Amino acid sequence: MNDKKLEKLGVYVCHCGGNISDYVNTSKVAEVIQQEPEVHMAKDFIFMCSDAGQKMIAEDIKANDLTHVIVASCSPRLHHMTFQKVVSEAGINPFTYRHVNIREQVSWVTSHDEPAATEKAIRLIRGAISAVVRLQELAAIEKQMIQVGAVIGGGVSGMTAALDIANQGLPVHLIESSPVLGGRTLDLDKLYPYEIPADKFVQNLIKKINSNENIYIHLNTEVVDTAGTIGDFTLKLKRADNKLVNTEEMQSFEIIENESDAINVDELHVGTITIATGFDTYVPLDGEYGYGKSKQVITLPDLIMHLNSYKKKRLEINGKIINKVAMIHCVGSRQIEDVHPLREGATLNNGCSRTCCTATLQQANRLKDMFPDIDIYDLYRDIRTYGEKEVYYKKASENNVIFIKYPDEEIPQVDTNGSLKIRTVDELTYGLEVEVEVDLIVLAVAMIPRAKPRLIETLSLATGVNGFLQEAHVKLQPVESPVDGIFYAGTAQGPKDVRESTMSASATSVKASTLLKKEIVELSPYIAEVNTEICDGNGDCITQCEYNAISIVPIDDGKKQAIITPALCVSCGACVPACKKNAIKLNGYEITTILAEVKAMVKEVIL
Amino acid sequence: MINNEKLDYDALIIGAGIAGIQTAVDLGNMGLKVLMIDKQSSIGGTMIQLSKVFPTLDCASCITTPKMSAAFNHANVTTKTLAEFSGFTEFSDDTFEVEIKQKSRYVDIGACTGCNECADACPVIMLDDGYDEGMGYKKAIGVPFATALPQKAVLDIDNCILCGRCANACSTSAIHFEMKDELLKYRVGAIVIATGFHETQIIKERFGGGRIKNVITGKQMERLLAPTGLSQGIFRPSDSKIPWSIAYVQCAGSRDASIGVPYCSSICCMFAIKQAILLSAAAPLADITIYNMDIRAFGKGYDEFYETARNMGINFVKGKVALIEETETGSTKLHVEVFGEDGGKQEIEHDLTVLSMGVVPQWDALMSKKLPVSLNVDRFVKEIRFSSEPGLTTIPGVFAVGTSTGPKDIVDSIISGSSVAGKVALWLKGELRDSFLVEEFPVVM
Repeated sequence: MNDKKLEKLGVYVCHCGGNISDYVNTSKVAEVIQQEPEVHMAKDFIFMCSDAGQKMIAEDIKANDLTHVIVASCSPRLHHMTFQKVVSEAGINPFTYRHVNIREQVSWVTSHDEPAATEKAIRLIRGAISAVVRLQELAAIEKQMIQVGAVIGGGVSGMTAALDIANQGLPVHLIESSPVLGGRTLDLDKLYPYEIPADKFVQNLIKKINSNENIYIHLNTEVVDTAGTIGDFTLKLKRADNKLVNTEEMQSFEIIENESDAINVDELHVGTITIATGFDTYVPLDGEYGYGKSKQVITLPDLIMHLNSYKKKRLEINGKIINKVAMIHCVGSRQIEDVHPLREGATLNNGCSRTCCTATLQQANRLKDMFPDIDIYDLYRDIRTYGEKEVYYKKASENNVIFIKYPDEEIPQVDTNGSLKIRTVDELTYGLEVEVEVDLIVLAVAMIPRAKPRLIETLSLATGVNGFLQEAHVKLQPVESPVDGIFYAGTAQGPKDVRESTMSASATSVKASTLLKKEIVELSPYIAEVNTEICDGNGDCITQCEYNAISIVPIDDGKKQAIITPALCVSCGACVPACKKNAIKLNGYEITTILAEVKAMVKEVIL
Repeated sequence: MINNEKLDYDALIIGAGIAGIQTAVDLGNMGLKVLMIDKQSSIGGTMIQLSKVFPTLDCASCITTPKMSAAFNHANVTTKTLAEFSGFTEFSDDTFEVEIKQKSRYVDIGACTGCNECADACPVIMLDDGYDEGMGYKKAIGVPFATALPQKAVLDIDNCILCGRCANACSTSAIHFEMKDELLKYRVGAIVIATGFHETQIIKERFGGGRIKNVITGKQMERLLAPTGLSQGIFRPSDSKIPWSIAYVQCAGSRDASIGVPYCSSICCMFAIKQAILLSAAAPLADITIYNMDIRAFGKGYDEFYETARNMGINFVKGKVALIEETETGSTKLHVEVFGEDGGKQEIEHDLTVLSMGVVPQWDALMSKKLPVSLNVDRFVKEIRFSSEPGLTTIPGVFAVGTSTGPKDIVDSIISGSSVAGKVALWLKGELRDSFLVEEFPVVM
């Protein structure tokens, strides 16, 4: 514990361009903080994170020999690293930097009361000051990078991700749970907007994968458990016995035999992990738009598969000649509470699946091309053929597809008794009630997240919007997971089409291969540490650690002691209260530090 | 095979918006040397002009400036502003000699401290139709805007009256009226087009043709809402009054073959919804109506954002705006065909109308002459391997990112920037040539 009086502490209060300063009197905060005995200088500025703000800190450090810096701005998730880098480049130990969140924790939540918000900001900064005074000089923990990548999922995203890492000259494991590579793209027809046949597209990719010596393919293989951190992840694999099914249909896809037996492993050690586990399609509820009640109600993927091998002049489905088709959008997507039926225990999917509007209209046009006399009714809420995909909407209109816009809250009613009928309200004709008799109803089903809870849990990942994987920053880090060294490629992160999946996959491989090319990876020193003088090795801490970071080892005199593997510790702090002897501390967040912070925060504030 | 030793830079990036910046940072992190140029006086592109971003409502400056700074200060990235691409020569070893016109700043960038004393001394006040979209003012000299990078003054010689007051005020004698444009030449291994987009510039006659004062564009509203904007509040241009009723006309510059923009611009629904949410805070009593054909909230979390807007009382009306007229009080009268029950032709007045203009590529015929990549039917840069290796143009070694290849939001621009960085790195290793030579789409039609 270091209680020496700080000589030079600089505190910077950010306006966040009004985000903070509209609700917090930032100049007052700087003025009050300037009076704190430990503070050498306190300033406020419009955007601390801007180049000008960063330069200000760097120049102050040099001109005033500052030893410690605190920035009070937004969430540390956004800019802790930004400022850590600034102070580090200016010659200060980055681990003595402290970040105070006065935006999410103050201005955004205390926006109704400026004096209270100002006071709160001051208290939080005072807390940080008292913590900074007690900070030890910590150094980053260095460990060896295992320069091998892993990609979980062998669809288009996974294959692209693996290929891009391999092309950078790095070995990569491609792990696929099914017997074939290709994923869901194999179920498609053609890729818009250039109408590339999906099977040819996948075939091409597989050829490249097969001829790349850096890629180790694991088919029929599940990742059953994971451990470790960036630079050294362990993946436990389980290979299923099921043999390749040699159906006629599948032979067209040049399936790779399971040749990876040569590396018959059940455990892999890799430096980075790319998750490309893809999506599932929504299965409509029994009776939802007549699904399950009538054989003439099918899903869009069903229709695509049916048409892919269809040769006849007239469309026949389930023994019925099809003259009239209704296509219904947003089945399982954009769900509204009390309007859309829900499976028991399921959560509402209020998100848009992004691809189904274009895919539906693509198939509508295909039906019109194949069977010109067919009538198509398209029941939609909003047609979302964004960007260049608008041509599919235009072509469908030219093909005389009849568009019926149903209100968000009044979903179409399907009658399966006797002939198949749809009843709905059409907003395009100012609310006319429409009833049409059709031979076929096609449901544009949602993309939903694929359930991989075990993987998510063991890698300490989280799911966000509608159950898709949560990225590190929605806007700025869309392919990075919140855990260092783990990336998301393709639809595991959210609905995407093939091009968008490819792009995200390539983006992950840029990040992954940049990391993998480093020989040393630096880890945060804010980890748990055992006081060997107090620890009696009773093991209470082990049961609390979900990351297998603690082990008990025998020492002299038959005694035992806990040891923490720094690379495995994620600084969660769960072990700290578990130790009844207070033998474990979390560096940077010691109990004494936290108590001192609390004490500093409750001190009276005079504005 | 590229001989990297001959190169001044591994790659040239034309355009320093968010996509170009992302590509530069990723290439730099891979240890490659990058020259990033922008024709504006600051990097940051469109994103630095924005107020907040959807659906997180992060302030745009807060998340753009660190990215700008990361690229600008990157050891492997050299940045030049007021620099225009003006031509290239291709060599047999797959490298290029690029010509860059370095326009004169009239300020010595090394001497300028960014103190802005020159702007204070300058007597010329004029409309800022660049960064501020005509919603603010600037001097003939000064640092372009608060978060500009580099933080260096720039002189607008066309509007300067050569009074010399700025030069007198400048304590470092950084201002040089006689400074000349320069032509710079560099040998590079790859070129990345990151020239971005601008708003559709044609305001249709039936929307007033640009003559109705209280009809503004989405980007102008963006500047009114931005914390870095001059106004620090919402007003309507004709009389500076606070508008109590605001209309958004969607697809005002897209999905319309008559103005040459048949495609959907992908971002306008979301920026209109975002602005409406921000306006609910900036002008809490204002009624906001968004007239639309379809709301295209297709990205992750976007439909939920749309739902939030509806729950906040923002009015979404399905319909088509046929005509906008100016009333005697300066307000706007919209003639709308409203869909839905009780729909039909209606005339509705609003104090202020915002046109959600479309996304049109910055890359124009002039640029195509200097760098003749093929364009697609929508005049965006064509990608020959659209689905398998996005970002490859029709010239081997030339890549394209962000909105230069089609409308994209920020997330998709960033993903595009990163993904193409990988392809550039491969090209520089001497690979990828085959990909450039084989178009993927005419396989079987």
